[in-house]
Order: sequence, then structure tokens, then C-alpha cells
Amino acid sequence: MSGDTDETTVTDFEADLAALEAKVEALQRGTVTLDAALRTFEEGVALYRRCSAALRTAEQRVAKLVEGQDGLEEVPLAAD
Amino acid sequence: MSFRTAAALAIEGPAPEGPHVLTVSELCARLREVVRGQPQPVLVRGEVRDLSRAPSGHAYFTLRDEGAQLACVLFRADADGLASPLRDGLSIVVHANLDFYPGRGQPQLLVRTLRPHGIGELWLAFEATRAALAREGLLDPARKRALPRFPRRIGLVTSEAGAAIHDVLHVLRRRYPLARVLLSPAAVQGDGAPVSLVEAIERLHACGGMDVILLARGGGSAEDLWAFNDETLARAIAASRVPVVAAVGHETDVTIAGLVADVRAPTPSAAAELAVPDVAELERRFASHASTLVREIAARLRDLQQRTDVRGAALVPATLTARIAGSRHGLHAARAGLLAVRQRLQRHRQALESALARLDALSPLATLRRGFAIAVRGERVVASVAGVAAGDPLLVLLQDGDVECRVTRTKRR
Repeated sequence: MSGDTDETTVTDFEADLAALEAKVEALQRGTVTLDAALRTFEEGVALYRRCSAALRTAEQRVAKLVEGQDGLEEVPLAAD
Repeated sequence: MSFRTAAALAIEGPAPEGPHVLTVSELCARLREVVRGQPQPVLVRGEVRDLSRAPSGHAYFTLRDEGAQLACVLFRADADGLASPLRDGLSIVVHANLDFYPGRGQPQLLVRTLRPHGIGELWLAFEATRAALAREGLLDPARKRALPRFPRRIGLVTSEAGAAIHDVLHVLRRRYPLARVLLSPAAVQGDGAPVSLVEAIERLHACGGMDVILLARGGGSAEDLWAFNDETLARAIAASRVPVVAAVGHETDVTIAGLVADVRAPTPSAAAELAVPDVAELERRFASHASTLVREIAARLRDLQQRTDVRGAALVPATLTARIAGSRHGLHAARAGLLAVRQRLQRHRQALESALARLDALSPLATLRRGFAIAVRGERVVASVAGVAAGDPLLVLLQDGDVECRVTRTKRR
């Protein structure tokens, strides 16, 4: 298979959303130490920033699957 | 006719008993008897016009040819059982009872069954395929797989030349540009279409990494859509390793592909809508959670501040100060991110901003930022000269670090 393989860098929103929800719940329970609360907060803010940036900057990428000489090839398709 | 005139007519009438005057109802009842007395049931060929579906579920339409038309009713139970859907312009043969409807003063056909005229053979093939697949359980609702919530890679099987590809890509771009789309082109009508469609699906599987496959084709005549009733295609869909959304033609077009797919969408655009989440909605959820985080941590810090103010004690080891500084840094970065989405997230942004402002005011670090220092002895903030004596070690917290010092002298003001 040719073409770029950077979908590994695509954010896993399902996992991130769940992680952020867990952090909110942890803070809302209020049973953690201040130190742990701050760490949870820091991690939550970092998650939010990363996902928010990913959501805002995404641009659609479309490729066409064609039968090439060496098997299947992905050819980028210009957005219409 | 007034009573007087009627009376005059009766008097002047040629025969004592006079002509019998019928009510409309009586005449219609007679007509109904005549109509119902015709050989029944009848097979009638014509074209569907003015099709409408009443809230009751009954379908009403006109069956017509070049020179005449007849009102038709298809009751709900029969309409629901149709293998192939009715639509305007369709040429059909109905199997019906002829009746007369006094309410409109017109005859009508009570349709029991119908089939498309001219594609009768295909129609039979459709039924045979459907029955075979149903016997094997391939149409079982329990087989239907849920679609992934956040697909990363979407396989699109459609024609490069059709309208469907534009509709699908447009909706995907608007709602969720994060998903990569891999087009696997196929012929969507004609003799070669079924094989082409099956191969397109197989190519996607060979390529791998798909989260969902969209099978789409725009509207067309029943004949145009026929490739999507192919049994081999149906089996390829059923065997797909990832969920398949089928959108063929319009809402009223029932195809085998639609029946066997995990999700049947009324149109290609609708298939795209079903396949991906909305990025704006997702952003709102993330921002809402972030706001809650800020609110919660602000409450914790406020609580801390109040305890410090009231008791003048019990706070701020240097490590904690550093943590708070770090979180402030995170907040500032978050604020920068939020500013960028201001227009779309106005409400959340304002909530977050106001929480951040409160956090600024509450944090002990605000004191340091203004150029003041906080003196700590042991684990306690020094709030009074009474708390220290000459020779005591003190930790003085400043904006950019700590100073370790020793008291040389105290003086009360």
C-alpha cells in the first residue's frame, strides 16, 4: 500500500473524550488531594487543547484506490 | 325546487305516480351495486400518478393511461407488504377489486397487490433473492452492526461520475473533515455494475484499515438501480469485515443492498450524516468539559485561599506553588486556544474566560505577580511578626522562585 500513513497521528476522539470526562468526574468528586487535582486539571487542559486544535485544523483528505502495477495504490484526489 | 313548484309538477305530470326522484345516495348505492357486480377481481395496467400516503398509512394514487384515469386505494397492510415501492410515473399492473365510492361519486380500485409492469421478471428475481437471503438469516436485524462513533478511515464505493460522490464528500467535509476518505470507484448501473461493485468492496478490504464503508448511488429508475439487487453484491455486503451503510436512490427505493447493509440511509447525503459525528458538536463537548475542569479547580483554589485568609496559616509549600504556576501556564494556553474558536463557541468561551479571570484573582500567585512576596516558616504562611523570632529560617516565595533566609530582627509596627 502506498500513500502517507499518518492516520496513526489522528486523534482518538473516542478515547480522549472518555478520558476528559473521567477527569471531570474525578475533580467533581473532590476526594483527591490538591496535588492530584492540579495534575488532573493540567492533564485535562492539555487534552482539551490537543483535541480542540485537531478539530479546528482538520482538512478533508480524499484518495482514490486504483489498481497499479504493484497492486493497489492510493492516489490523492483534489477536493471539489 | 320549492315545494310549490314540485307540487305543480306533480299535478301536471303525465302519469299519476310521476317520475321517481332519487336521492344522490340512492343513485350512488345503485351504481355501487352495478360496479360491484362486474367480474372481480380485475387486473389493470397503468401508470401511477399523484401518489400520496395518508397518516393512516393507506396509499392513494391515480392509475392512468393516455385517455383515462381511475382512483386507487392501497390499504396500509398491503402497502407495507410491497416488495418494491410505489412511486409516481411507475408503470404497474394492479390486482384489484372494483368498487364505487359514494363520498366522491366515483368508482375506485381497491388494490390488493401490484407489480411493476415490464420488469416483472426482475421483480420476481428480487423476491427470490430476498427470500434466499432471509432464509439464511442475512437480513436479520440482530446481524446489523453499530457504526463507529469516530471513524478515521471511510471507504466510499460509488461512481466517480455520479452525483452521489459530491453529496457524500460535501457532507463529510462539513461535518467531520478529520476522517480520511478512500474512494473505491465502481460502475453503479448497467450489466457490469454488480461485479464492479463487489470488486470495489473487495479492494477496500484488501487495502485494509477501513472503519466503515459507504455504498452510494443517486436516484434513478428502478432499472437504473437494479445492480443493487444483485445477490453476489448482497453477499459481499453481508461478508464485509466493517459496517456498511447503503444509500441507493431515494427514500422510497428499496434495494437488496439496502436490506442487507448494516444501515440503510435514505440518500447518499444522509449516509454521510449517519457515518460521522459533527465536529462543531464535538468541540462543544470538549469545551464544556474544559469549562467544568476550570470551575472545579477554581473552587479548590478559592477554598484554599479562604482558609489562608481566615487562619493566616496552613498553606503553600514551594512544590505546590510550582504546580499552581504550571497549571496557570496551562490555563493561559487553553485561553489562547479558546480565543481561536470564539465565534463557534461563544457561550463556552465566555464561561471559561470568566472562570479563568476568577482563578487569576483567587490564586496566591496573583499576589506574587503584583510584586509581593509570601513568607513561609515551616509549612505556615507568616502573617504576623509574632510568628517569627530572630534566627528563624524563612522561605520567601517570589514570582520567579524562592529565597531561603534567616530572620535577623523583628519589629512590630
